[in-house]
Amino acid sequence: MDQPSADRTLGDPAVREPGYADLDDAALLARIAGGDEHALAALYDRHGARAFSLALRILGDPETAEEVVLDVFWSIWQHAGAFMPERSRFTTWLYAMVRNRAIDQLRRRRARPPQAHEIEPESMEAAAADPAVEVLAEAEELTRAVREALDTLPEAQRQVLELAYFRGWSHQEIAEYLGEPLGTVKSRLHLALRKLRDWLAERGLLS
Amino acid sequence: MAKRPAYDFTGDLRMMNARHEVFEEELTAYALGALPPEEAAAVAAHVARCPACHEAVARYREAATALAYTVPLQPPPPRLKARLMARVRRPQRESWRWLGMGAALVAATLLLILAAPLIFATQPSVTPRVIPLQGAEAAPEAEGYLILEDGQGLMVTKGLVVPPEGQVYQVWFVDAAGRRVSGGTFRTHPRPYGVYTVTVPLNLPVYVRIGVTLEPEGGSPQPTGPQVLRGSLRSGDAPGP
Repeated sequence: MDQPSADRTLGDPAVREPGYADLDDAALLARIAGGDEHALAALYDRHGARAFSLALRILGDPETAEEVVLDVFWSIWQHAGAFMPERSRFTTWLYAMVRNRAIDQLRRRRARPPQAHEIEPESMEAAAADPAVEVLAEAEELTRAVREALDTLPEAQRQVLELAYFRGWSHQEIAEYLGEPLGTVKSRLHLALRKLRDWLAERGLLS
Repeated sequence: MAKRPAYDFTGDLRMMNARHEVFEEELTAYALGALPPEEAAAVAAHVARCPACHEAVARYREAATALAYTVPLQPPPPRLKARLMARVRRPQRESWRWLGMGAALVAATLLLILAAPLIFATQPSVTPRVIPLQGAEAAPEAEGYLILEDGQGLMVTKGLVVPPEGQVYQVWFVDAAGRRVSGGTFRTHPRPYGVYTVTVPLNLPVYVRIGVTLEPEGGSPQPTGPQVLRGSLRSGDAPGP
């Protein structure tokens, strides 16, 4: 494929792709499926920071988080045509993919001793967001709604939901960790996620 | 339809027919990936045939994914985007394109190998060089060839399994002192043969051995994983005298 010389800035994180800002995710994916590298760069600019932050929150290790995100966006480049935008929101698919791969890495790591640079995921929770990272308006609304929903949950419910989501533990593992009966954990997990779903659905934030 | 149970489970899960709430708990846990494999498989089998539960799982999953938005935003390292775009621009990105080209290269290579004695008999010192590779400890069944011609390298592998998700094979050139330089990474496909380009170091004559190891995606600065293939670059070493 021939590359125009203006493509020299491609890959520069400081450079945004002109003309792509108005395209929604589905339109970018259609272009990516057609081999448009700038569309991939634009999609990365839009979602890369959150994808990285999610992987970092799960793994606590910036290097592995970087590999996970690289891998996910590489898959998007290779399989963009296979994604059906009408079936679900792209970000749902994207963050599910980031989470699954990060948790795979986490499970693989259990077999070996922790590395010195790996931060305990809990310590990440207190970390403030970097103000330099741009926040999309729609993401802002969703972020606010999720935080509000979590605030309404009893602490015990919020805790099991976060252990399941960020650690990828089964309800059995959560029960062992908390020293609670399995049935209690199952029902807390269910109540927590149902509440979150209803909260977001009421606000028109689910597709 | 009326004669069939609403949930067609076997064993213990059949009991869930009576307890809808319990089943809802299974669905949320399933959506979060929090079920042990056997239970997840049973729920997946049901969800595949029940549009209502399929829809319910999709909504739960979408709600769970929204937790990604509670994470404090951290800027990714700038090199991440650069690495992504550099990888995208590598010409061999599309594996399907490689498939066709690979088959042609395998044919050409086999011809080359078959004709090698003839070529070498007439022009003994001229490239290409064909270096046989043997399976190493992690892949004793694997074998391959490295074909070197005009500073370009082509590796043909046989019986090398698809690496686990997130891992790649990496080629190494090793000098007499044991120093290693990377010849690039590749992923095999689920088929018996594979053909991959290898980056050949400019100072090739100083290298005495070649190895292939399993490494994390993106490759490593130095080998860290098990070796799958090895060969000798010293013409006198292998395979004969």
